[in-house]
Amino acid sequence: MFFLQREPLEPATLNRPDAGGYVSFVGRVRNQHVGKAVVGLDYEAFESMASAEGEKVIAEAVERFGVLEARCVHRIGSLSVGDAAIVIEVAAGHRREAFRACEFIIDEVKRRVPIWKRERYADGVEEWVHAWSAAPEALTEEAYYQAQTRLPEVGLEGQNRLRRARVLVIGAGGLGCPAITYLASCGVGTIMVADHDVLEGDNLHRQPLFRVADIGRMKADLAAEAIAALNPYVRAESYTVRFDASNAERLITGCDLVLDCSDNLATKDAANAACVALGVPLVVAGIHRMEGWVLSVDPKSDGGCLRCLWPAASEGTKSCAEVGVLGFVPGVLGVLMATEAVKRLVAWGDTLGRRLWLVDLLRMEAQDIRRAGDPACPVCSVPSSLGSSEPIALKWGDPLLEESGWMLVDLRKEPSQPFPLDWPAGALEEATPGARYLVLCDRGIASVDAVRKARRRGVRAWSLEHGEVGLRRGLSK
Amino acid sequence: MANTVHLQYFAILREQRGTDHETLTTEAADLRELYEALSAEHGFTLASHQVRPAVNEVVADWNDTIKDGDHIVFLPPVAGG
Repeated sequence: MFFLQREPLEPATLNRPDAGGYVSFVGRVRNQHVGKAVVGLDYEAFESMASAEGEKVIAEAVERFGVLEARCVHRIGSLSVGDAAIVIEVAAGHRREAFRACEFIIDEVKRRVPIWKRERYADGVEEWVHAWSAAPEALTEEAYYQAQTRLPEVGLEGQNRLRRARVLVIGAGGLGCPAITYLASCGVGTIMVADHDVLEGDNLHRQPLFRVADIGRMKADLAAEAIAALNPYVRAESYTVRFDASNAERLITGCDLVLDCSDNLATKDAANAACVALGVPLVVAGIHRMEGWVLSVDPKSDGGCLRCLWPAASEGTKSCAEVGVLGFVPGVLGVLMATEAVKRLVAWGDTLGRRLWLVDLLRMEAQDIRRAGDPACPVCSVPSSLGSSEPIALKWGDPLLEESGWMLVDLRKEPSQPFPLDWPAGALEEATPGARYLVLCDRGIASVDAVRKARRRGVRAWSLEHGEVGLRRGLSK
Repeated sequence: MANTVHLQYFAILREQRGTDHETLTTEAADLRELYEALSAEHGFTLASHQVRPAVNEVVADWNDTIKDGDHIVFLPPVAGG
Protein backbone atom coordinates (compact mmCIF):
# COMPACT_ATOMS: atom_id res chain seq x y z
CA MET A 1 0.00 0.00 0.00
CA PHE A 2 1.33 3.42 -0.98
CA PHE A 3 -0.27 6.76 -0.33
CA LEU A 4 0.38 10.48 -0.12
CA GLN A 5 -0.66 12.44 2.94
CA ARG A 6 -0.90 16.14 3.76
CA GLU A 7 -1.14 15.63 7.53
CA PRO A 8 1.86 14.77 9.75
CA LEU A 9 2.91 11.13 9.47
CA GLU A 10 2.60 8.69 12.33
CA PRO A 11 4.97 5.73 12.44
CA ALA A 12 2.18 3.16 12.50
CA THR A 13 3.09 -0.43 13.24
CA LEU A 14 2.33 -3.37 11.09
CA ASN A 15 1.79 -6.30 13.35
CA ARG A 16 1.07 -9.75 12.01
CA PRO A 17 1.29 -13.09 13.73
CA ASP A 18 2.98 -14.61 10.65
CA ALA A 19 5.76 -11.98 10.48
CA GLY A 20 9.03 -12.78 12.24
CA GLY A 21 10.82 -9.73 10.85
CA TYR A 22 9.55 -6.19 10.84
CA VAL A 23 11.56 -3.24 9.49
CA SER A 24 10.50 0.38 9.39
CA PHE A 25 12.26 3.41 7.96
CA VAL A 26 11.51 7.07 8.65
CA GLY A 27 13.01 9.77 6.44
CA ARG A 28 13.07 13.20 8.12
CA VAL A 29 13.74 16.77 7.04
CA ARG A 30 17.39 17.58 7.74
CA ASN A 31 18.65 20.97 8.92
CA GLN A 32 21.24 21.28 6.15
CA HIS A 33 21.81 20.45 2.49
CA VAL A 34 25.31 20.61 0.99
CA GLY A 35 26.40 23.06 3.67
CA LYS A 36 23.37 25.36 3.50
CA ALA A 37 21.14 25.73 6.57
CA VAL A 38 17.65 24.40 5.80
CA VAL A 39 14.62 25.67 7.74
CA GLY A 40 11.96 23.64 5.96
CA LEU A 41 10.76 22.29 2.64
CA ASP A 42 7.74 21.76 0.44
CA TYR A 43 6.85 18.51 -1.30
CA GLU A 44 4.77 18.59 -4.44
CA ALA A 45 3.49 15.50 -6.27
CA PHE A 46 1.83 14.54 -9.53
CA GLU A 47 -0.63 12.79 -7.29
CA SER A 48 -2.38 10.30 -9.55
CA MET A 49 0.82 9.09 -11.18
CA ALA A 50 2.75 9.15 -7.90
CA SER A 51 0.16 6.90 -6.26
CA ALA A 52 0.16 4.48 -9.19
CA GLU A 53 3.97 4.37 -9.40
CA GLY A 54 4.26 4.03 -5.61
CA GLU A 55 1.86 1.08 -5.63
CA LYS A 56 3.99 -0.52 -8.35
CA VAL A 57 7.11 -0.12 -6.21
CA ILE A 58 5.36 -1.79 -3.27
CA ALA A 59 4.07 -4.64 -5.46
CA GLU A 60 7.56 -5.18 -6.90
CA ALA A 61 9.11 -5.22 -3.43
CA VAL A 62 6.56 -7.77 -2.20
CA GLU A 63 7.07 -9.99 -5.23
CA ARG A 64 10.85 -9.71 -5.52
CA PHE A 65 11.73 -10.19 -1.87
CA GLY A 66 8.81 -12.42 -0.93
CA VAL A 67 7.75 -10.27 2.03
CA LEU A 68 4.29 -10.54 3.55
CA GLU A 69 3.28 -6.90 3.47
CA ALA A 70 4.76 -3.48 2.81
CA ARG A 71 3.42 0.03 3.14
CA CYS A 72 4.77 3.46 2.39
CA VAL A 73 3.32 6.87 3.19
CA HIS A 74 4.88 10.00 1.70
CA ARG A 75 4.14 13.43 3.08
CA ILE A 76 3.28 16.28 0.72
CA GLY A 77 2.90 19.98 1.50
CA SER A 78 4.92 22.13 3.87
CA LEU A 79 7.33 20.48 6.33
CA SER A 80 9.69 21.79 9.04
CA VAL A 81 13.08 20.44 10.13
CA GLY A 82 12.61 17.14 11.97
CA ASP A 83 9.23 16.32 10.38
CA ALA A 84 8.83 12.84 8.95
CA ALA A 85 8.77 13.00 5.14
CA ILE A 86 8.35 9.30 4.46
CA VAL A 87 7.49 6.23 6.52
CA ILE A 88 8.09 2.73 5.15
CA GLU A 89 7.11 -0.47 6.91
CA VAL A 90 7.80 -4.04 5.86
CA ALA A 91 6.63 -7.24 7.51
CA ALA A 92 8.30 -10.46 6.44
CA GLY A 93 8.88 -14.02 7.51
CA HIS A 94 12.52 -13.23 8.27
CA ARG A 95 14.61 -10.12 8.86
CA ARG A 96 16.84 -10.30 5.79
CA GLU A 97 14.11 -9.88 3.19
CA ALA A 98 12.47 -7.21 5.35
CA PHE A 99 15.68 -5.10 5.33
CA ARG A 100 16.20 -5.63 1.59
CA ALA A 101 12.62 -4.77 0.69
CA CYS A 102 12.67 -1.65 2.86
CA GLU A 103 15.87 -0.39 1.23
CA PHE A 104 14.51 -1.25 -2.21
CA ILE A 105 11.33 0.75 -1.56
CA ILE A 106 13.11 3.93 -0.42
CA ASP A 107 15.58 3.74 -3.34
CA GLU A 108 12.86 3.20 -5.92
CA VAL A 109 10.54 5.87 -4.48
CA LYS A 110 13.37 8.41 -4.65
CA ARG A 111 14.20 7.36 -8.18
CA ARG A 112 10.81 6.85 -9.81
CA VAL A 113 7.88 8.42 -8.01
CA PRO A 114 6.99 11.90 -9.34
CA ILE A 115 7.46 13.92 -6.16
CA TRP A 116 9.48 17.12 -6.02
CA LYS A 117 11.08 18.97 -3.14
CA ARG A 118 11.74 22.68 -2.71
CA GLU A 119 14.05 23.55 0.16
CA ARG A 120 13.75 26.76 2.15
CA TYR A 121 17.11 28.00 3.39
CA ALA A 122 17.92 30.17 6.41
CA ASP A 123 19.02 33.03 4.13
CA GLY A 124 15.53 33.27 2.63
CA VAL A 125 16.39 31.54 -0.65
CA GLU A 126 14.19 28.68 -1.91
CA GLU A 127 15.37 26.10 -4.39
CA TRP A 128 14.09 22.96 -6.13
CA VAL A 129 16.32 20.05 -5.26
CA HIS A 130 17.37 17.92 -8.19
CA ALA A 131 19.42 15.30 -6.42
CA TRP A 132 19.04 12.73 -9.14
CA SER A 133 22.58 12.07 -10.15
CA ALA A 134 26.03 12.11 -8.65
CA ALA A 135 27.53 12.87 -12.06
CA PRO A 136 29.39 16.08 -12.76
CA GLU A 137 27.25 18.52 -14.69
CA ALA A 138 28.93 17.93 -18.04
CA LEU A 139 28.62 14.15 -17.79
CA THR A 140 25.02 13.75 -18.83
CA GLU A 141 23.59 10.32 -19.50
CA GLU A 142 23.73 11.04 -23.22
CA ALA A 143 27.36 12.08 -22.99
CA TYR A 144 28.27 8.97 -21.01
CA TYR A 145 27.07 6.66 -23.77
CA GLN A 146 27.71 8.76 -26.86
CA ALA A 147 30.55 6.61 -28.19
CA GLN A 148 28.38 3.48 -28.13
CA THR A 149 25.06 5.02 -29.18
CA ARG A 150 26.92 6.27 -32.26
CA LEU A 151 26.83 2.64 -33.43
CA PRO A 152 23.56 2.55 -35.38
CA GLU A 153 22.84 -0.98 -34.13
CA VAL A 154 22.86 0.31 -30.56
CA GLY A 155 21.53 3.84 -30.97
CA LEU A 156 19.13 5.41 -28.50
CA GLU A 157 16.71 2.51 -28.81
CA GLY A 158 19.33 -0.06 -27.87
CA GLN A 159 20.50 2.15 -25.03
CA ASN A 160 16.93 2.35 -23.73
CA ARG A 161 16.66 -1.44 -23.84
CA LEU A 162 19.81 -1.69 -21.78
CA ARG A 163 18.54 0.91 -19.33
CA ARG A 164 15.30 -1.01 -18.79
CA ALA A 165 17.11 -4.32 -18.26
CA ARG A 166 17.62 -6.06 -14.95
CA VAL A 167 20.46 -8.58 -14.84
CA LEU A 168 21.55 -10.89 -12.03
CA VAL A 169 25.26 -11.70 -11.75
CA ILE A 170 25.96 -14.76 -9.62
CA GLY A 171 29.48 -14.49 -8.21
CA ALA A 172 31.71 -11.41 -8.11
CA GLY A 173 34.95 -13.28 -8.75
CA GLY A 174 37.29 -13.82 -11.68
CA LEU A 175 34.45 -14.04 -14.22
CA GLY A 176 32.13 -11.68 -12.37
CA CYS A 177 34.51 -8.71 -12.10
CA PRO A 178 35.05 -8.18 -15.85
CA ALA A 179 31.43 -9.09 -16.66
CA ILE A 180 30.11 -6.60 -14.09
CA THR A 181 32.49 -3.89 -15.30
CA TYR A 182 31.18 -4.01 -18.85
CA LEU A 183 27.52 -4.53 -17.93
CA ALA A 184 27.78 -1.37 -15.82
CA SER A 185 29.72 0.70 -18.31
CA CYS A 186 27.38 -0.32 -21.17
CA GLY A 187 24.43 0.94 -19.11
CA VAL A 188 22.49 -2.17 -18.00
CA GLY A 189 19.94 -0.34 -15.84
CA THR A 190 19.84 -2.61 -12.80
CA ILE A 191 22.65 -4.99 -11.90
CA MET A 192 22.08 -7.40 -9.04
CA VAL A 193 25.23 -8.95 -7.61
CA ALA A 194 24.93 -12.11 -5.49
CA ASP A 195 28.07 -13.25 -3.69
CA HIS A 196 28.45 -14.60 -0.15
CA ASP A 197 32.23 -14.28 0.20
CA VAL A 198 34.54 -11.67 1.66
CA LEU A 199 37.47 -10.45 -0.42
CA GLU A 200 40.71 -12.28 0.28
CA GLY A 201 44.20 -11.22 -0.70
CA ASP A 202 44.68 -14.05 -3.19
CA ASN A 203 41.54 -12.96 -5.10
CA LEU A 204 43.06 -9.67 -6.25
CA HIS A 205 45.18 -11.04 -9.11
CA ARG A 206 42.04 -12.14 -10.99
CA GLN A 207 39.38 -9.75 -9.61
CA PRO A 208 40.40 -6.27 -10.76
CA LEU A 209 37.22 -4.59 -9.52
CA PHE A 210 38.74 -4.65 -6.02
CA ARG A 211 41.64 -3.02 -4.19
CA VAL A 212 44.05 -4.12 -1.45
CA ALA A 213 42.28 -1.86 1.05
CA ASP A 214 39.03 -3.80 0.39
CA ILE A 215 40.31 -7.10 1.85
CA GLY A 216 37.89 -8.49 4.40
CA ARG A 217 34.78 -6.79 3.05
CA MET A 218 31.82 -8.50 1.34
CA LYS A 219 32.45 -8.76 -2.39
CA ALA A 220 28.80 -8.18 -3.32
CA ASP A 221 28.87 -4.83 -1.49
CA LEU A 222 32.25 -3.90 -2.99
CA ALA A 223 31.01 -4.73 -6.48
CA ALA A 224 27.89 -2.58 -5.96
CA GLU A 225 30.09 0.34 -4.85
CA ALA A 226 32.37 -0.14 -7.86
CA ILE A 227 29.36 -0.11 -10.20
CA ALA A 228 28.06 3.12 -8.65
CA ALA A 229 31.49 4.74 -8.99
CA LEU A 230 31.81 3.66 -12.61
CA ASN A 231 28.40 4.74 -13.90
CA PRO A 232 25.99 7.07 -12.08
CA TYR A 233 23.20 6.09 -14.49
CA VAL A 234 22.85 2.46 -13.45
CA ARG A 235 21.62 0.92 -10.22
CA ALA A 236 23.43 -1.79 -8.30
CA GLU A 237 21.89 -4.12 -5.76
CA SER A 238 24.05 -6.35 -3.58
CA TYR A 239 22.90 -9.69 -2.20
CA THR A 240 25.34 -11.20 0.28
CA VAL A 241 23.96 -14.71 -0.07
CA ARG A 242 25.19 -17.94 -1.58
CA PHE A 243 23.01 -18.52 -4.63
CA ASP A 244 21.22 -21.86 -4.40
CA ALA A 245 17.85 -23.47 -5.05
CA SER A 246 16.38 -21.93 -1.88
CA ASN A 247 16.79 -18.31 -3.01
CA ALA A 248 16.97 -18.79 -6.79
CA GLU A 249 13.35 -17.92 -7.47
CA ARG A 250 13.42 -14.77 -5.37
CA LEU A 251 16.59 -13.50 -7.00
CA ILE A 252 15.77 -14.41 -10.60
CA THR A 253 12.10 -13.42 -10.75
CA GLY A 254 11.86 -10.15 -12.63
CA CYS A 255 15.29 -10.47 -14.30
CA ASP A 256 15.76 -10.25 -18.05
CA LEU A 257 18.98 -12.25 -17.97
CA VAL A 258 21.22 -14.11 -15.54
CA LEU A 259 25.01 -14.42 -15.73
CA ASP A 260 26.43 -17.34 -13.81
CA CYS A 261 29.96 -16.29 -12.88
CA SER A 262 30.29 -18.78 -10.03
CA ASP A 263 33.35 -20.98 -9.62
CA ASN A 264 31.57 -24.29 -9.08
CA LEU A 265 29.25 -26.52 -11.04
CA ALA A 266 26.76 -27.06 -8.21
CA THR A 267 25.88 -23.36 -8.36
CA LYS A 268 25.81 -23.44 -12.17
CA ASP A 269 23.42 -26.41 -12.02
CA ALA A 270 21.13 -24.53 -9.64
CA ALA A 271 21.20 -21.41 -11.84
CA ASN A 272 20.51 -23.52 -14.92
CA ALA A 273 17.52 -25.32 -13.37
CA ALA A 274 16.01 -22.11 -12.01
CA CYS A 275 16.46 -20.18 -15.26
CA VAL A 276 14.86 -23.00 -17.29
CA ALA A 277 11.91 -23.17 -14.87
CA LEU A 278 11.42 -19.40 -14.82
CA GLY A 279 12.02 -18.92 -18.56
CA VAL A 280 14.92 -16.48 -18.05
CA PRO A 281 17.96 -16.70 -20.37
CA LEU A 282 21.25 -17.66 -18.74
CA VAL A 283 24.80 -16.93 -19.85
CA VAL A 284 27.27 -19.25 -18.20
CA ALA A 285 31.01 -19.81 -18.48
CA GLY A 286 33.75 -21.83 -16.88
CA ILE A 287 37.53 -22.06 -17.00
CA HIS A 288 40.19 -24.68 -16.54
CA ARG A 289 43.84 -23.60 -16.48
CA MET A 290 44.35 -21.75 -19.82
CA GLU A 291 41.03 -22.80 -21.37
CA GLY A 292 37.49 -21.67 -21.00
CA TRP A 293 33.98 -22.19 -22.33
CA VAL A 294 30.94 -20.01 -22.59
CA LEU A 295 27.37 -20.76 -23.61
CA SER A 296 23.89 -19.31 -23.48
CA VAL A 297 20.83 -21.17 -22.27
CA ASP A 298 17.67 -19.82 -23.81
CA PRO A 299 14.64 -21.56 -22.30
CA LYS A 300 12.52 -20.47 -25.26
CA SER A 301 14.73 -22.19 -27.87
CA ASP A 302 15.46 -25.88 -28.34
CA GLY A 303 19.21 -25.58 -27.84
CA GLY A 304 18.99 -27.38 -24.55
CA CYS A 305 20.50 -26.42 -21.25
CA LEU A 306 23.68 -26.89 -19.24
CA ARG A 307 22.47 -30.24 -17.91
CA CYS A 308 22.02 -31.58 -21.47
CA LEU A 309 25.74 -31.06 -22.03
CA TRP A 310 27.05 -32.27 -18.68
CA PRO A 311 24.55 -34.64 -17.09
CA ALA A 312 26.47 -35.14 -13.84
CA ALA A 313 28.36 -31.92 -13.90
CA SER A 314 28.61 -31.15 -10.22
CA GLU A 315 30.66 -34.23 -9.34
CA GLY A 316 34.39 -34.22 -8.90
CA THR A 317 35.37 -30.85 -10.31
CA LYS A 318 37.76 -28.43 -8.68
CA SER A 319 37.58 -24.65 -8.50
CA CYS A 320 40.14 -22.58 -10.38
CA ALA A 321 41.67 -21.45 -7.08
CA GLU A 322 42.49 -25.10 -6.36
CA VAL A 323 43.78 -25.93 -9.85
CA GLY A 324 45.67 -22.67 -10.39
CA VAL A 325 44.76 -19.83 -12.70
CA LEU A 326 46.14 -16.73 -14.40
CA GLY A 327 43.91 -13.71 -13.87
CA PHE A 328 43.31 -12.87 -17.51
CA VAL A 329 41.77 -16.27 -18.32
CA PRO A 330 38.54 -15.61 -16.38
CA GLY A 331 39.04 -12.01 -17.58
CA VAL A 332 38.65 -13.03 -21.24
CA LEU A 333 35.70 -15.31 -20.49
CA GLY A 334 33.99 -12.73 -18.26
CA VAL A 335 34.22 -10.15 -21.03
CA LEU A 336 32.77 -12.71 -23.47
CA MET A 337 29.85 -13.21 -21.05
CA ALA A 338 29.18 -9.47 -20.97
CA THR A 339 29.44 -9.42 -24.77
CA GLU A 340 26.82 -12.15 -25.07
CA ALA A 341 24.59 -10.48 -22.46
CA VAL A 342 24.66 -7.00 -23.99
CA LYS A 343 24.13 -8.33 -27.53
CA ARG A 344 21.10 -10.28 -26.33
CA LEU A 345 19.64 -7.28 -24.52
CA VAL A 346 20.19 -4.97 -27.48
CA ALA A 347 19.18 -7.72 -29.95
CA TRP A 348 22.22 -7.28 -32.19
CA GLY A 349 24.09 -9.97 -34.08
CA ASP A 350 24.37 -13.70 -33.56
CA THR A 351 24.28 -14.96 -30.04
CA LEU A 352 25.51 -18.29 -28.71
CA GLY A 353 22.00 -19.77 -29.01
CA ARG A 354 22.87 -23.37 -29.87
CA ARG A 355 26.61 -23.25 -29.60
CA LEU A 356 29.26 -23.97 -27.06
CA TRP A 357 32.26 -21.73 -27.48
CA LEU A 358 35.61 -23.12 -26.38
CA VAL A 359 38.63 -20.87 -26.04
CA ASP A 360 42.19 -22.13 -25.66
CA LEU A 361 44.45 -19.25 -24.68
CA LEU A 362 47.59 -21.37 -24.79
CA ARG A 363 47.18 -22.29 -28.47
CA MET A 364 45.19 -19.14 -29.20
CA GLU A 365 42.37 -21.13 -30.72
CA ALA A 366 38.62 -20.93 -30.45
CA GLN A 367 36.21 -23.71 -31.29
CA ASP A 368 32.55 -23.38 -31.96
CA ILE A 369 30.60 -26.53 -31.16
CA ARG A 370 27.00 -27.04 -32.21
CA ARG A 371 24.84 -28.36 -29.44
CA ALA A 372 21.26 -29.54 -29.24
CA GLY A 373 18.91 -30.25 -26.38
CA ASP A 374 18.90 -33.74 -24.90
CA PRO A 375 15.34 -35.09 -25.27
CA ALA A 376 15.81 -37.03 -22.04
CA CYS A 377 17.24 -34.10 -20.05
CA PRO A 378 15.61 -34.07 -16.62
CA VAL A 379 15.83 -30.27 -16.46
CA CYS A 380 14.64 -28.90 -19.79
CA SER A 381 13.06 -31.66 -21.88
CA VAL A 382 9.38 -32.18 -22.38
CA PRO A 383 8.94 -35.65 -23.86
CA SER A 384 5.20 -36.10 -24.03
CA SER A 385 2.20 -36.68 -26.18
CA LEU A 386 1.93 -32.93 -26.58
CA GLY A 387 5.19 -32.57 -28.48
CA SER A 388 8.14 -30.53 -27.37
CA SER A 389 6.99 -27.37 -29.10
CA GLU A 390 3.90 -27.08 -26.88
CA PRO A 391 4.55 -24.37 -24.31
CA ILE A 392 4.70 -25.53 -20.70
CA ALA A 393 3.00 -22.47 -19.33
CA LEU A 394 -0.05 -20.51 -20.46
CA LYS A 395 -0.73 -16.90 -19.64
CA TRP A 396 -4.05 -16.07 -18.02
CA GLY A 397 -6.20 -14.99 -20.98
CA ASP A 398 -4.77 -17.57 -23.41
CA PRO A 399 -7.53 -18.63 -25.84
CA LEU A 400 -6.84 -22.29 -25.07
CA LEU A 401 -8.20 -21.70 -21.57
CA GLU A 402 -11.57 -20.77 -23.03
CA GLU A 403 -12.09 -24.27 -24.44
CA SER A 404 -14.00 -26.93 -22.56
CA GLY A 405 -12.74 -29.96 -20.67
CA TRP A 406 -10.38 -28.25 -18.23
CA MET A 407 -9.66 -29.37 -14.71
CA LEU A 408 -7.82 -27.35 -12.10
CA VAL A 409 -4.90 -28.67 -10.06
CA ASP A 410 -4.42 -26.14 -7.28
CA LEU A 411 -0.98 -26.47 -5.66
CA ARG A 412 -1.04 -23.10 -3.89
CA LYS A 413 0.09 -23.08 -0.28
CA GLU A 414 -1.62 -19.86 0.75
CA PRO A 415 -4.24 -18.99 -1.86
CA SER A 416 -5.56 -15.46 -1.54
CA GLN A 417 -7.14 -15.10 -4.97
CA PRO A 418 -10.07 -17.43 -5.65
CA PHE A 419 -9.84 -19.19 -9.01
CA PRO A 420 -12.48 -17.34 -11.06
CA LEU A 421 -13.71 -20.20 -13.25
CA ASP A 422 -16.03 -23.00 -12.27
CA TRP A 423 -13.72 -25.88 -13.19
CA PRO A 424 -13.70 -29.25 -11.46
CA ALA A 425 -10.69 -29.96 -9.27
CA GLY A 426 -8.35 -32.65 -10.56
CA ALA A 427 -5.20 -34.47 -9.52
CA LEU A 428 -2.32 -35.20 -11.89
CA GLU A 429 -1.69 -38.55 -10.20
CA GLU A 430 -5.18 -39.76 -11.17
CA ALA A 431 -5.47 -37.99 -14.51
CA THR A 432 -8.47 -38.71 -16.75
CA PRO A 433 -7.44 -39.41 -20.36
CA GLY A 434 -8.44 -36.62 -22.70
CA ALA A 435 -8.94 -34.04 -19.97
CA ARG A 436 -6.82 -30.89 -19.85
CA TYR A 437 -5.18 -29.93 -16.58
CA LEU A 438 -4.17 -26.45 -15.55
CA VAL A 439 -1.69 -26.46 -12.68
CA LEU A 440 -1.75 -23.39 -10.47
CA CYS A 441 0.85 -22.71 -7.80
CA ASP A 442 1.97 -19.60 -5.94
CA ARG A 443 4.51 -18.33 -8.48
CA GLY A 444 4.50 -20.73 -11.41
CA ILE A 445 7.62 -22.70 -10.53
CA ALA A 446 6.42 -25.79 -8.68
CA SER A 447 3.72 -26.06 -11.34
CA VAL A 448 6.28 -26.21 -14.17
CA ASP A 449 7.97 -29.15 -12.47
CA ALA A 450 4.66 -30.90 -11.93
CA VAL A 451 3.65 -30.33 -15.55
CA ARG A 452 6.93 -31.76 -16.87
CA LYS A 453 6.55 -34.90 -14.78
CA ALA A 454 2.88 -35.30 -15.73
CA ARG A 455 3.58 -34.83 -19.44
CA ARG A 456 6.16 -37.59 -19.34
CA ARG A 457 3.32 -39.87 -18.31
CA GLY A 458 1.23 -38.56 -21.20
CA VAL A 459 -0.99 -36.25 -19.16
CA ARG A 460 -2.14 -33.15 -21.01
CA ALA A 461 -1.12 -30.54 -18.46
CA TRP A 462 -0.12 -26.88 -18.55
CA SER A 463 1.20 -24.54 -15.91
CA LEU A 464 -0.34 -21.13 -15.34
CA GLU A 465 2.48 -18.64 -15.97
CA HIS A 466 3.69 -16.94 -12.76
CA GLY A 467 1.04 -18.88 -10.77
CA GLU A 468 -1.24 -16.85 -8.55
CA VAL A 469 0.84 -13.71 -9.20
CA GLY A 470 0.12 -14.12 -12.94
CA LEU A 471 -3.54 -14.86 -12.26
CA ARG A 472 -3.94 -11.71 -10.19
CA ARG A 473 -2.13 -9.64 -12.81
CA GLY A 474 -4.23 -11.11 -15.60
CA LEU A 475 -7.48 -10.44 -13.75
CA SER A 476 -6.57 -6.82 -13.07
CA LYS A 477 -6.05 -6.14 -16.77
CA MET B 1 -0.96 17.98 -38.44
CA ALA B 2 -2.12 20.07 -35.51
CA ASN B 3 -3.11 18.32 -32.28
CA THR B 4 -4.77 19.70 -29.21
CA VAL B 5 -3.04 18.54 -26.03
CA HIS B 6 -3.46 19.11 -22.32
CA LEU B 7 -0.31 20.00 -20.42
CA GLN B 8 0.20 19.89 -16.69
CA TYR B 9 3.25 21.42 -15.00
CA PHE B 10 4.94 20.58 -11.74
CA ALA B 11 7.69 22.01 -9.55
CA ILE B 12 10.31 24.12 -11.33
CA LEU B 13 8.55 23.87 -14.71
CA ARG B 14 5.29 25.09 -13.15
CA GLU B 15 7.11 28.13 -11.81
CA GLN B 16 8.92 28.82 -15.06
CA ARG B 17 5.74 28.40 -17.11
CA GLY B 18 3.74 30.52 -14.64
CA THR B 19 0.77 28.16 -14.63
CA ASP B 20 0.04 24.60 -13.55
CA HIS B 21 -1.86 23.58 -16.66
CA GLU B 22 -2.81 24.67 -20.14
CA THR B 23 -4.44 23.34 -23.28
CA LEU B 24 -2.80 24.17 -26.56
CA THR B 25 -2.69 23.24 -30.21
CA THR B 26 0.67 22.10 -31.49
CA GLU B 27 2.26 21.14 -34.80
CA ALA B 28 5.11 19.33 -33.03
CA ALA B 29 5.74 15.85 -34.43
CA ASP B 30 6.99 14.30 -31.23
CA LEU B 31 7.38 15.01 -27.53
CA ARG B 32 10.94 16.28 -27.88
CA GLU B 33 9.89 18.84 -30.44
CA LEU B 34 7.04 20.02 -28.22
CA TYR B 35 9.32 20.36 -25.20
CA GLU B 36 11.96 22.23 -27.19
CA ALA B 37 9.32 24.65 -28.49
CA LEU B 38 7.90 25.28 -25.01
CA SER B 39 11.39 25.57 -23.61
CA ALA B 40 12.34 28.23 -26.17
CA GLU B 41 9.13 30.13 -25.52
CA HIS B 42 9.19 30.07 -21.70
CA GLY B 43 12.91 29.78 -20.93
CA PHE B 44 12.87 26.38 -19.17
CA THR B 45 16.25 25.82 -17.51
CA LEU B 46 16.07 22.02 -17.65
CA ALA B 47 17.35 20.45 -20.86
CA SER B 48 15.28 17.64 -22.34
CA HIS B 49 17.75 14.99 -21.17
CA GLN B 50 17.09 16.05 -17.58
CA VAL B 51 13.33 15.70 -17.98
CA ARG B 52 11.13 12.64 -18.54
CA PRO B 53 7.96 12.93 -20.60
CA ALA B 54 4.77 11.19 -19.46
CA VAL B 55 1.68 10.77 -21.61
CA ASN B 56 -1.63 9.87 -20.02
CA GLU B 57 0.21 9.11 -16.78
CA VAL B 58 2.66 6.65 -18.32
CA VAL B 59 6.34 7.46 -18.82
CA ALA B 60 6.90 7.90 -22.55
CA ASP B 61 9.75 8.14 -25.01
CA TRP B 62 10.94 11.49 -26.35
CA ASN B 63 10.44 10.20 -29.89
CA ASP B 64 6.80 9.22 -29.31
CA THR B 65 4.40 11.02 -31.61
CA ILE B 66 1.74 13.32 -30.22
CA LYS B 67 -1.91 12.33 -30.49
CA ASP B 68 -4.90 14.61 -30.31
CA GLY B 69 -6.22 14.83 -26.75
CA ASP B 70 -3.03 13.55 -25.07
CA HIS B 71 -2.49 14.54 -21.46
CA ILE B 72 1.20 15.40 -21.34
CA VAL B 73 3.42 16.04 -18.34
CA PHE B 74 7.14 16.81 -18.47
CA LEU B 75 8.52 15.42 -15.24
CA PRO B 76 11.46 17.31 -13.74
CA PRO B 77 14.05 15.12 -11.95
CA VAL B 78 12.20 13.63 -8.98
CA ALA B 79 13.33 14.16 -5.38
CA GLY B 80 11.01 12.26 -3.08
CA GLY B 81 11.90 10.48 0.14
